[in-house]
Amino acid sequence: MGPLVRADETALLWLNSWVGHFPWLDTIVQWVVSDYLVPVTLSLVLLGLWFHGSTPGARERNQRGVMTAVLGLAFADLAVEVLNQFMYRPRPFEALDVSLLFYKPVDSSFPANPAAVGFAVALAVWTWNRKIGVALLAIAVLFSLARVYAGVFYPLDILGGAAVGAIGSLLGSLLMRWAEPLPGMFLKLARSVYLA
Amino acid sequence: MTDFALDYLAFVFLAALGVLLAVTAHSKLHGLLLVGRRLSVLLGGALTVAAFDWFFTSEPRNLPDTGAGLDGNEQAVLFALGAGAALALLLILSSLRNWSMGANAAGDGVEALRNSSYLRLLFKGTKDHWDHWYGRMKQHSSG
Repeated sequence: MGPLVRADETALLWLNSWVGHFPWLDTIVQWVVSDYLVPVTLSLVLLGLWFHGSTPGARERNQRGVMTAVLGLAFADLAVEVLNQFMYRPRPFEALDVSLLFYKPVDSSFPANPAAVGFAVALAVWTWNRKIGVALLAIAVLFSLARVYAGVFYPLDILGGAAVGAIGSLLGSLLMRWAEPLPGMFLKLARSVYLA
Repeated sequence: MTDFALDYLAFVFLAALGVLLAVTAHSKLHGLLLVGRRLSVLLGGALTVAAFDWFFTSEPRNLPDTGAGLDGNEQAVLFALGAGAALALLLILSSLRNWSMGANAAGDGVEALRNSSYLRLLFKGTKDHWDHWYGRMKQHSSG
């Protein structure tokens, strides 16, 4: 683990060393790393996706994508909670001399919860709608990189979070298949009041 | 509720209303339009951008969730409230505006809103269900 952790720290220090060189970039990153910008954006995309679709079939695919994303998000969140009970990795600013662009979170650095959430939603949507899924993946990558740049996470935390998110979205997809006809019944119920 | 939570709720409400205006117009759900289709897309986009701009530039928002900020669960509940309120407002206002469209359900679910007013569809659907149920009850009791 030694060389891997050292490489992780080196990558973080290199990326974080750019802080202060481009004030405009620092300002953008301070917005992107916020606890609210990307999570609200992802949620708004899911809300829009629920009503979006040129045909009933396309709309149903989007709605199933939204349901998969919500399940994937729940699984990813639960997995991070459970992992945090058994492992704790100190944040970069606790161990290294980094320039911090964010407040000091107190929970474990590994796995990165924002990456888990972002990738769980993006990958779940991707399985149903490639175009929107790729856009959400780009947002998740940007969110994750910004968190490393800001000195809040190590790159390995992000990779761990992304893996947790991928597993969460996979479990969400499997549950959607396994639980059928329940998702279909839920959509039918929502359709009866013209909301799906 | 803290000032920050109220700001977050207002932000989500406005941004969600903007997204709903734009998406329903783009998907040609005429029964949910408040203004013309193109204007609705523009208005929705502008409202969403304005909501983000107001929330993130009016005050510092990088606050720890152990302090004045919101944790994940609080965010989820407030998002559901804000987005739900935005949807409810859109359904009510668009129903009043498009009341004359009637309830010409030419499709199932949201698809029916292409040419129908939401509340009139809902009333018609409820009446049809009631008539169906009442008819069956009457049949059972007489037979």
